[in-house]
Order: sequence, then structure tokens, then C-alpha cells
Amino acid sequence: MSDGRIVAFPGADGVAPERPGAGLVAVLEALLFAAGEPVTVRALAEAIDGAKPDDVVAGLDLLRARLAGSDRGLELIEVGGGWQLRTDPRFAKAVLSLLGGTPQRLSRAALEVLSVVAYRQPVTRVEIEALRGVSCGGVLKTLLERGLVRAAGHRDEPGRPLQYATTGGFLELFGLTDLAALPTLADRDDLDER
Amino acid sequence: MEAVDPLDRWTVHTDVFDGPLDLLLYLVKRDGIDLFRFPVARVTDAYLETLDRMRELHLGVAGEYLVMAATLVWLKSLELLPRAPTAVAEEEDGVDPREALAKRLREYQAYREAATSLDERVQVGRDVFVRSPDDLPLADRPLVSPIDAFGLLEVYFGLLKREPGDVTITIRRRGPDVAACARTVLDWLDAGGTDLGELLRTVSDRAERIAMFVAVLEMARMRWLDLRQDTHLGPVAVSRQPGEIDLERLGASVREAG
Repeated sequence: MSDGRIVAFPGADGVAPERPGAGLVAVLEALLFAAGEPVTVRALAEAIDGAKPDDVVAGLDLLRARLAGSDRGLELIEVGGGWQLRTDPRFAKAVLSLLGGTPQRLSRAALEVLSVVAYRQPVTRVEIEALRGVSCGGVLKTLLERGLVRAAGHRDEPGRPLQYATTGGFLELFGLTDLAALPTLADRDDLDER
Repeated sequence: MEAVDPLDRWTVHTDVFDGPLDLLLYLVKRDGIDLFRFPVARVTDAYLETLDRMRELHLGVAGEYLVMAATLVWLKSLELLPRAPTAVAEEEDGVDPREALAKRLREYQAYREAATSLDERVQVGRDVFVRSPDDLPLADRPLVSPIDAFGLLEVYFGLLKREPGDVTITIRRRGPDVAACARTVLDWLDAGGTDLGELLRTVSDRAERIAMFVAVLEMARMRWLDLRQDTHLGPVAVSRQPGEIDLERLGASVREAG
């Protein structure tokens, strides 16, 4: 590392270089810590000289296994198409106490609107309101501002209403790898078969 | 002195139920009703009774609750009338309206369960915490004083001033579109424009000028544009920030706010 460049396998953390990927795990840990947000395998591979995506995937698995130990305070999870370091849920109370904040909670109305958008996207405001039987302009605005919902173009029908879809922030908030990871909705078709 | 009903003095407005479907599902759950054998008469009575109680407690009963009450009474009347199966079957394209309502409730219940299972997931900001990335300054950005609020105000007053010269009266059906103005701003930046005042002087119409100004502020808020003022009360320079610009999102945020 004398030339200041990031080298994939420098054996940096005191581990013998012949153990493959040992230095890579350390670099990955540094990158994920600095990024904060979920980072894709491709972006990680591009940031590290000489690392191929396959190496990165193997390194991430190794890092995840290491952090899974009970003496570690962080977790590595795959979320929203990338990888992210998070605090261990066991320490939620201590973290909140340190930061002096109250936990962020979504209201029941917000969670319901979010569910409708998640399962039905792209969906218009009128459709959400028809489903819940109550207006949701304020809730939608909050969800848009929190970056959990985004506008997804206009529906090609009279009035050209805006359609809404969920965002990467939605996946990140709920720790979902992608939309397919949402649990199956107990929708009417399933129920009708009863 | 005449006694004052404490309820008249202390009127509490809370949204006990989140709309008529929420209330219906509450009653269904409370009375252990099977949504596949929907007893309309029983549900209607319970619903109307609850509305009465809400009124007694001075809780606001919004219009949508009354619409649902009317629907329920109508459905109950269908049940009380001597059966004319063909007539009932012909309602609403052959779908039994009672079954249609029960189906709607089942559907709403499914989304409520989905909402509950979302809430039970490990959540960022509640159960787990993440770092926010460092806001690294861009390498080519000069170190200047942050933008002066009065500088922006000057620009705003400037654009409210009537320009001397030709007076054109335009009658339009709709107000100017902020998203469309944002597109104009971006085109102007691409053409090499920098001075905010100069940009606003390109538009003669006052409403459009304000919309243009709002578009610039909105895009700065989204961190798509950078506003810079090198001297106190000096000109405000606009430049584009790296990154993707999603005008669709801008349109949505302005519309939902308005």
C-alpha cells in the first residue's frame, strides 16, 4: 500500500497473504462503513483495484459470517440490490439512548398506504383511496417526502393521473432485497378458494 | 347558573376510526363475523349504533361514514324485501352487491395484514441504525460563504417588479407548470447560463417568473442545483450538481404540496 492505492489482497489485517480474500474483507468493511447506504457488488468491485465481482461476493460472505459472531455490534445485510452495514437490533435501545432521539415510526395509515403501493404498483391515488375507503393525500405526501414512495409516470387514461411506486428507500427501511421478497399478500383470490 | 354539559365544553376530536372500512372491520372483528357469510342486517345495525355513539361523544362523523351507512341500509333493505332473485342478481353487472362489499372488506383486510407484517419487520431508525454517508465537498467547488437569504429575497422582489415597456395581457386556463419551468431552467443551464437574475429576466410574465423561481428553489432543495452567492447581496449563481435529475419527482412533490 506504499503507493497509496487500494490493493485487493495486501494481507493487511495481519493475516498471512496466502489466505485468499483476507485483505479484501478489510477493504470491504472500510468501504461499506464509509458509504453508509447499500452499495452494489459492482460499485465495490470498481472501487477496489484488481477485485472481480466474484471475489467481492465471496469477501462479503466472509465479512457477513465474521460479523455474525455474538461479540460484534454490526451486521452486514443484502438490501435493495446492495450491501449495507447496520447496527445489531440487540443494541437498538442503547443506540437510541446515545443519539437522544425517538425511534422513527410510521403511522398505521402510512403503513397501509405503503402496503397498497408496494403490492399494487404502479397505483394511482384514486385506487389507493378506493381500497381504503378514505382519502390519503396527506399520508402520500409524507411518504413522498420521506422518499419511501415516488411518482412513477402518468397513467394513460382520462385525466392522466399520477402513478406511485415504492423506492429503494422503502426496501432499505424494511430490509428487503427486492420487491419479490415481500411476503405474499393474502389477497381475495386466495381467500375465495376457501 | 345552568349546568353546562361537560361534553359541550370539552369537545375532543380524535380520529377513532380511519374511515368507514376501518370501522366495519373493527365491528366484524368485535362481533366475530365471518367475512364469507356476511350478515348485512346485523352489521348494519352495529354500524349505525356506532355512528350514533360517535355523535353522542361529539366525534366528527365525516361524509364517507354516511355514504357507507346509506349503502348498508340499502343492502339491508334488499334482504328484508321479498326475494326477487333475478332482480338482485342483476344489480351491478350480476354481482350480488352484498358480496361485493364483503369482498371489498376482505381485500382491505389483506392490505391491513400486509401493513402489520411490514411493521413487524426490522426497521431502520427504530430497530437498526445505519451511517449517513459523509457529505464530501466536491473537489472543484470553491469555498464561499453560504448563500444569503436576503440575496434570494432581493431576487424575488426584483421579479415582482413590473418591467416597463410593452404590457401584454395573457389569459390562461391553468397556472404555469413548475415542472415545465424546471425543464426550461435546465435547458438554460445547458446553454451556459449562470446568473439567476438573468434567467428570471428572460421571462416577462410575472406568474411564470415566480414559477421559474420556485422551480430553481425546488431543484436546489433536491440537491440537483447549487446556488452560490460570492458577495453579500451580490448576484446568485446557479449551477448543476452531478447526479440524475428526475423531473417526474419534482412535479409530484410540487403537486402534492399544492
